[in-house]
Amino acid sequence: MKTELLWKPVRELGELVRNRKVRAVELAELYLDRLERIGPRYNAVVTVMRDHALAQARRADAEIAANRWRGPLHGIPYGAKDLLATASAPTTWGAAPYREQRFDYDATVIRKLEAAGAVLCAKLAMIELAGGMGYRQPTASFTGPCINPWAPDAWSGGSSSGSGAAVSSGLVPFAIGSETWGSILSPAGYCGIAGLRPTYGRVSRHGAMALCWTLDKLGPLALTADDCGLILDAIAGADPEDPTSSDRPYRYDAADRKSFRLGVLRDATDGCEAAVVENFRRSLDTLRRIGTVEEEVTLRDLPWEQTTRIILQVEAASAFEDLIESGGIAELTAPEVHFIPYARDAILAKDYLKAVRLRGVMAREADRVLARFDALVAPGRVNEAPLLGQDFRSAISATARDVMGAVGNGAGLPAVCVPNGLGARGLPTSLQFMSRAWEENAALAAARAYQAMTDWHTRHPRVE
Amino acid sequence: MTDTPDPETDTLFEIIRQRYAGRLTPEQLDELRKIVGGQVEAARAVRAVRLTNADEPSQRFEPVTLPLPQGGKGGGLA
Repeated sequence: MKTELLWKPVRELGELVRNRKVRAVELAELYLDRLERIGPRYNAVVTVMRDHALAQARRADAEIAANRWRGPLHGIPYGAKDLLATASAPTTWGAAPYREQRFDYDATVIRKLEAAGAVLCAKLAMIELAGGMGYRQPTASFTGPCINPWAPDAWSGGSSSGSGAAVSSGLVPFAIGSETWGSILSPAGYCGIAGLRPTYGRVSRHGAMALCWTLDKLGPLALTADDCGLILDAIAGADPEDPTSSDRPYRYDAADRKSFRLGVLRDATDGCEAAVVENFRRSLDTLRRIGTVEEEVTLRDLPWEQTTRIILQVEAASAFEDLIESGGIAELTAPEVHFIPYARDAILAKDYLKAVRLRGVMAREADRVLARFDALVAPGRVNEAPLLGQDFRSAISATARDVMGAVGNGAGLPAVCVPNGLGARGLPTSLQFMSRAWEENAALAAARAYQAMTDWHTRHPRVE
Repeated sequence: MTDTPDPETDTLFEIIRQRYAGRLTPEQLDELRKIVGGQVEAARAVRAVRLTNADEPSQRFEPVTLPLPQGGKGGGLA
């Protein structure tokens, strides 16, 4: 097996495939073997799609041999969070009541990646119903808690749990996840890889499980920010099947920028573990080599977290009204979500609408501040990955603060998360770059520049 | 979240209790009351922000025209 191919960025793998130094079928077999052999160790995989993947890989090899190269994802294996509809495999939404669910079509993201020549190898584990019912601990998935490849007693993060663990452990070169509030940045940060939350509307949600219609975003998890840009380039774009998708054009700009204007919110490290703060300060020192870093940036005093939380709780309760009212939530894995969703019946419609009106004010305020910068920088997570078997703190359940997450998701802003060190337990810590709406290229450029000066993204967990 | 008596929380919690008490243990009901208290606190924070009449919800609605069925007239609700 060509194990030297493992943990190579998509850009490098793509060149090897394009130049026929390695065949797509070889790559697919390498990763399929790991998905089948190592995936269960982390509870990272729901369905391995061997036959489907090998068929796509053979087609890629034939096309490349015939000089019909589709682009940098041609022949590259990947995994999809199991909330994306696929005709070739069940789509379980991570939840026992839906474990036999099948769709007769592919989500738009899956179709776009197929058009780019990528090879779908697996449906990846996730927190049941993307965590929208209010889970409090890592066990909230019918496939079991997703284990962090860096430590067997730690969680991979969620809700795109398998997407984070699979990329981190070299089971796939990249994966697609989704974020409503934190579900891409959390597993990327805890697993020491890159994750990109695109602007709301940048990527079609058609065929993705709806949790919160006005908050859900789909995006890539990969080894580098550069890879995230390549993948976004393939999946972005308007879709008549998703009226909230935007027709604003997107092309990934991989050109290096010379200088950056970066900002740091005044309370950016509130509630962070000491090692997270220390690594963040070190990251800021690194970033000062490529631009200005203005600290003590302030946002207008608004109920950012409460607003985003109300929108999330109400939309999720509506999206799963039948499951909740029927009592079907008792079939979910996490015991706390057998009753927490009932509380949402007590959120008044007027308060939800006030939150949705207030969100417009928030979006304008966030843009007013962000317009001065290429990106706001903050720790990606406040801590190292939580331990398995323990409740964790969360802004969604109001047991932790996450202003960056509330602003970013409430206002639909893009953010890139990359590793920036190790914490006290030897697990990754992370750094996030959040930019103005539609300015993914600015956040990606800053993250790429950071990664060019550091080597955290080249460190990987011991898997074998 | 709070355990302090609060009329609004009590009233809203009563909706939950009326609808779902038969499915829930006393411990779960206690927990739900705390969660409802937290939701009320969040709602109060949102209500405290003054908006203008022009601050519309950030949601888009588009009227729909479906293609007419073959043979002529469109259907619709009675």
